[in-house]
Amino acid sequence: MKATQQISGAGIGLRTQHYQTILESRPDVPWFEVLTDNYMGAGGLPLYHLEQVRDIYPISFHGVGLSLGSADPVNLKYLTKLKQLIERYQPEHVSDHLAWVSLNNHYAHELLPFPYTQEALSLISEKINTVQDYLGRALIVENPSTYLDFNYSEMPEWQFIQEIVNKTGCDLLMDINNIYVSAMNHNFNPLEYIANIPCQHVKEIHLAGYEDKGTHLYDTHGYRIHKEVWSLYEKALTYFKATPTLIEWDTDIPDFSVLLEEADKAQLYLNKYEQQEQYA
Amino acid sequence: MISIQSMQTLFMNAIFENLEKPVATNELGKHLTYNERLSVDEQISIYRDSVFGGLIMALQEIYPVCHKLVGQDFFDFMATQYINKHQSLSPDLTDYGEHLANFISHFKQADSLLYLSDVACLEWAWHRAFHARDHSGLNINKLNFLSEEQQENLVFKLPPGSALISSDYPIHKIWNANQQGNENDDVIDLDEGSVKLLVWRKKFDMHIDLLQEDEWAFLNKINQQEKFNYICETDEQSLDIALLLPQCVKQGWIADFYIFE
Ligand SMILES: [Fe+2]
Repeated sequence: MKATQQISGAGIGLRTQHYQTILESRPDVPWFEVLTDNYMGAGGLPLYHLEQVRDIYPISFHGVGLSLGSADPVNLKYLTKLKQLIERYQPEHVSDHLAWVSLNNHYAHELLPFPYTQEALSLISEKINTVQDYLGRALIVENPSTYLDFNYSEMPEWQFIQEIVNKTGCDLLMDINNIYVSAMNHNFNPLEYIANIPCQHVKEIHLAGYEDKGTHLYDTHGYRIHKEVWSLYEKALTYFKATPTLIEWDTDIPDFSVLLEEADKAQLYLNKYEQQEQYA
Repeated sequence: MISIQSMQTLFMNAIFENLEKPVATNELGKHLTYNERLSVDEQISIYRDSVFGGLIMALQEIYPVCHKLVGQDFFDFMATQYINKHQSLSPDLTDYGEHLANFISHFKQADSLLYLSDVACLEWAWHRAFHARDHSGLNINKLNFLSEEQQENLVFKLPPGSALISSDYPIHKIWNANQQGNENDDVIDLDEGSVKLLVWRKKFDMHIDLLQEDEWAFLNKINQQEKFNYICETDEQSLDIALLLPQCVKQGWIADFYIFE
């Protein structure tokens, strides 16, 4: 198994449909992101495939099961299993979302929104601290796409993220598509949001394709990345620097070659940013 | 302003409530920001649809043959009723859907598909064996080193995650005919008699094995984790254990043993 190393460049989300292509053709991809919640089983082919991919590529872990925004305490069974997986597969990053997926141990398995209040702030900070203490490493937290806002939120999302970082020292995964989707749905300026994120904590970026539903943008993860999101990404790099970037695709998963094209495109932006930095 | 706990209780209720009486949806709506393009109902529906969509997709992935047999519309309808009745209680989505076979057996609209519930039972067993703990099979040599006392307390085990399933219908043939690449026009005779099956995994190969009556009886005894000695004593008359044991070991159906203490 590969020793732990820093990931860099444009990676791709690992999906079952592509195991074979990846293992047979060993494409030139700097890293893969693994959906941790799909590997919670006791054994079998999924874990075997993961092991094989991990032997060739650095990986990151990405999950939803911590349900950080839920009023429930952290599910200890899940956390224990997560730690076992981390010990076995040595991912470079471990991330989850600024959202909740469960209440009273009833799981919706979807990222649900919550109000940005002081109560939420102390609840989530405490849970992130519990997770970080147990795992012995910084958790990386991702901003969500949202389709509704609570009228009693006390601060904008970017400020909530600042406060979370202050209280926990956690790291951040900035999903540029999610920022764009939420900005359009709730009429805020995505650049103001990005400018207010504590950039030294941003360890990873996500890119994905939304769907325009007419009344709102929906975070389908089933399309190529839209040009508005590419352009926001280019601007975000000036704040976040050449942060490892991931292509996410979850529905109507296309040929691996499509994902490679998107990753190549992201890599061009990363290269361009680094060149500009050199001349500056 | 309401607490996180109250908001989330409302939210969960709004997602899963009967939409003819949307009490929680209306109440939650009072706490949402006005949006000129979407009513509060529509905003909440976006989440409701994605929760149901995700759970239906999870069931469809576990039950591809049932899905194929009934078609998308009926499957969506049935899965929606199932989701309304059965909550997901684990962060691991592969734990969801355990009760579908039982649910189908009481689902009036599926009455005419007599075998559907048994096919669902087979698919759940397949799914569990697929994700079960890995095992290396029975090391028969280890049996030679048991003391007499240990031999008296010997208990055999089936492969981890395996399941014994019986049906009045040839569900293994229905399952097989609905696998990708196996589609043909062969007619399956539903009246050809009942079947007894063992669903299990050997390394990464999945098996659905058709069992004879005596193999079925013997493996059921093993599955109940009765001491081998006890099985030999009580079933001597009905089962030819001297024949069955090596046969089942050879097939890989007996995967391990332990000494009962
Ligand atoms: Fe993302």
